[in-house]
Amino acid sequence: MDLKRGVSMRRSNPLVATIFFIVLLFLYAPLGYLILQTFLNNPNDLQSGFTLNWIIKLFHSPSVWDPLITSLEIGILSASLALIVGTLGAVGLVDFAAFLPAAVQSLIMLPILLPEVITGLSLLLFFLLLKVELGFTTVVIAHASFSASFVYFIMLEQLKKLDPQMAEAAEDLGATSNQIFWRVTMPNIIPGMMGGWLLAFTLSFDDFLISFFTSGAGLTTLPLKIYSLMRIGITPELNGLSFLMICISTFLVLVLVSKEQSRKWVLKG
Amino acid sequence: MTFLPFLIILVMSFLERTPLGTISFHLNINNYLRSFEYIYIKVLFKTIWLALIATLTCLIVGFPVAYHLARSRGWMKQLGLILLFIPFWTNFILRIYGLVSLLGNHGLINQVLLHFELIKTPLEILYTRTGVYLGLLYNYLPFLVVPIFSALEKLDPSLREAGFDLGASRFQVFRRVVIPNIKEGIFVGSLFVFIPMLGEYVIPDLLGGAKEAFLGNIMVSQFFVMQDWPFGSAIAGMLSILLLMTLWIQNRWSRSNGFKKGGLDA
Amino acid sequence: MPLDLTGLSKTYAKDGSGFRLFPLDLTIEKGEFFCLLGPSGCGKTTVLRLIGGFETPTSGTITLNQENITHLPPNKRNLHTVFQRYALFPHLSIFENVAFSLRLKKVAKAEIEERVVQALRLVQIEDLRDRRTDQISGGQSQRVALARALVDRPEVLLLDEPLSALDPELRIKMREELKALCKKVGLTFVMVTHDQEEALQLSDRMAVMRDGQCLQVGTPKAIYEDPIDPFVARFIGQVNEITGDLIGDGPETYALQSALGTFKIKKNGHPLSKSINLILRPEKMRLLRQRSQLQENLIEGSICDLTYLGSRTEYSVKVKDKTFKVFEQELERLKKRKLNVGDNIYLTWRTEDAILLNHPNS
Repeated sequence: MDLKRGVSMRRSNPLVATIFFIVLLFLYAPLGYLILQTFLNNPNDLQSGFTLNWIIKLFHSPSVWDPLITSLEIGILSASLALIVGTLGAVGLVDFAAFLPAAVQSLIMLPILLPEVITGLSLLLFFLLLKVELGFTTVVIAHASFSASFVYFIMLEQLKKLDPQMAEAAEDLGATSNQIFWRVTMPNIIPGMMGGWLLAFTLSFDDFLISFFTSGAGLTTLPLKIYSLMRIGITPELNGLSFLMICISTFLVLVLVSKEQSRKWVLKG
Repeated sequence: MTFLPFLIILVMSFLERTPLGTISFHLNINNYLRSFEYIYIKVLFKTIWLALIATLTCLIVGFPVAYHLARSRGWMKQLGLILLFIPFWTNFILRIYGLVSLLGNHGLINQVLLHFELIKTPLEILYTRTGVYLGLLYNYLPFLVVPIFSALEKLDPSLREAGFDLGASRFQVFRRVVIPNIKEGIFVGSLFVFIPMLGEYVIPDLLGGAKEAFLGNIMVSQFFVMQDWPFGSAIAGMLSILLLMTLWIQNRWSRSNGFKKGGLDA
Repeated sequence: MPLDLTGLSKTYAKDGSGFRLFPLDLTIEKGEFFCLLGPSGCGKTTVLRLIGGFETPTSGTITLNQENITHLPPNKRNLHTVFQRYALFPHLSIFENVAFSLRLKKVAKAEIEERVVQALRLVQIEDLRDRRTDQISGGQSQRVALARALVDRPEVLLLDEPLSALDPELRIKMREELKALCKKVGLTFVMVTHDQEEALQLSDRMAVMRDGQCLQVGTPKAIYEDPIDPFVARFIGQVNEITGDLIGDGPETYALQSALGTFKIKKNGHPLSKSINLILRPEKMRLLRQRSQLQENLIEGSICDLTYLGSRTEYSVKVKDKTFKVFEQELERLKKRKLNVGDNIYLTWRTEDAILLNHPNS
């Protein structure tokens, strides 16, 4: 009797499981429908029959590939810039972080705490007042200044996690402060830096709103492209693009998960 | 560095727009007084109200999802988490687009309903309040599932077992052991969904249209349509104060309750 | 060549804890295993950190081989620290951890290899050389930390509670190894510990500290048998205490009058005040069934608890409102005596086994 109850404790009740599956359905319906539309002759008619035309067309359409490359460039540049600024900030402030007034700390957090729309508008005002021409550079700077805050907090946490005894041990063994930084601190925060860069890249690659405000007329990132196609209405080109991007994100999640999984196995073995 | 632009918007909110459309450096608080006009207060309350019910829905729907994930084992749990996250690695605008094409007059829902003649005319979901509500739900739900899930994961399983051992029923264990131990996680999680919803711009813009503007949309239109930067900045200032106050209160409240971590501590 | 601390003090003005290390004079001989013993917050770790160079003293000097090292940074002192949590570098292999100081000194590759292997062999972990730091146990980490500190042949090794992170069984094993290692490499070891048993077992000499003050320095035997302070007596081993006033003054003995009776005590040259603490170690006391005319110091009481521990039995004896602890070895001649809880007995001790200390308030 008791044994049976013990087993049932592990199992979710049917109502909870049902809600879980309904939620999954809700999350996947829009994406699934986008994929389905990619293969329909007439994307707005379920009975119009299937085709691969839209996918083939996608690969011959520079108006899709150019924004993709722009997005990648902006992502790489802004993530690298954010990494430098955020890491330097964290390294410089880690010893004082505990003493910094909460107000100063919150100031650094503003881009994380405030809605993106405010961040985007204030960056736009900033560039307009400086009379900088909006374009590629302003988007890179805007993305970097936004994600530098995230990098800063990741690196701060990473640095705080370092055992202060480790620096003392290095000094005790004869290292100068320069040697401590390059031989002990640095190698131990590299994983955090990689994580910070990836986050900054993802934030930039995914960002719509800040690019929308700071890109000016000439520049088109991938999200901006999707937005402008959406404004036109539902186009087959857009559906092809959606299909491609859903594939990429699924692939990325799977890679990440399998990496995590293999790391666990290595540790166990 | 990163907060310099915010300073500009703060200063801007105390300036004035001249009838010619230029900005005059005459410091005053008229912009803030103007933001208390009925039309803006109405938008503010609508924003708060919709964010609030969307957060509550996220909570009601998200809790069973987190609970189910926390209760499942091994590859089932792994798979569940992956499935939950794939949509969120997809571009944000794309997710919105997915919703638009699902809910629109020619969208999947209407096509199916019309085909089976369950309705005569297409359902108006897109560009209504329901559209905005569904958009908020769709985009924020996982962000509430995660904190609840991790709070449940951290909960020592022997606590539940101790509850059963001491004679509590499943419901009693849930109410008297599980909930009290994760309510902090639930609260902080809800707040971190509610606050960004208040500042939402894209979702009401693309799913609600002009009728269903949030405070963020009014603000943007002050910048781009009305060309009144100082007043737009004042709305941004008001919104920021509202959000930061909420965070600050939560932070103080957490601390005075002896909670381990939350809010601004990060 | 000794390690000399002269008038070494430290006051923490800023952090508001109000902690002070009072001026300390200490000479630690070459090759000595020296322990700093005391409860947490007594300042023993501060002393170690001052020697290591991680703190700057408020006053006083530290000399090593007559060289003043008081204001040298840690990386310029010819001594190394084994940290409490070992502080191994997680990004380096075991081999590279040990090689760290040699690499900084740009020692030739072949020599590094040789010396690291030698150091690893010294602590018996040569087979772990290519492991990562998260792939070894606590005891092994301990050995790596030792090898890392020993590899470039410092003159002094500082150990900050090195055994506290190990489980009890391993701790006892490592104690023996540490002691053997000290004698084998012939270095000076200075170890901080709060475990009195560890200090007794390991040290050649030790210092007992409390509240930033060094109370007594001496060999374990001297400190156990002849403590100069009631705190030292209580901190090292267990004690029974009787307080009273000095009354008689005979040629070789005093008399002590206390609430439990009048006892004879031997003169030992210490100047004594009127108010006295009489300290009795539990193992130095005896239990008698009957009053004996031969015994001079007798207290009547009853057994309120007894614990059989194999090699000895521990008794608790109630005398008026006080409880005395008495440890008796399981000797053959005592076997037939059969004491039980509730029995009335007499406590006694040899006059010369009593330790006399001035009452702290006098």
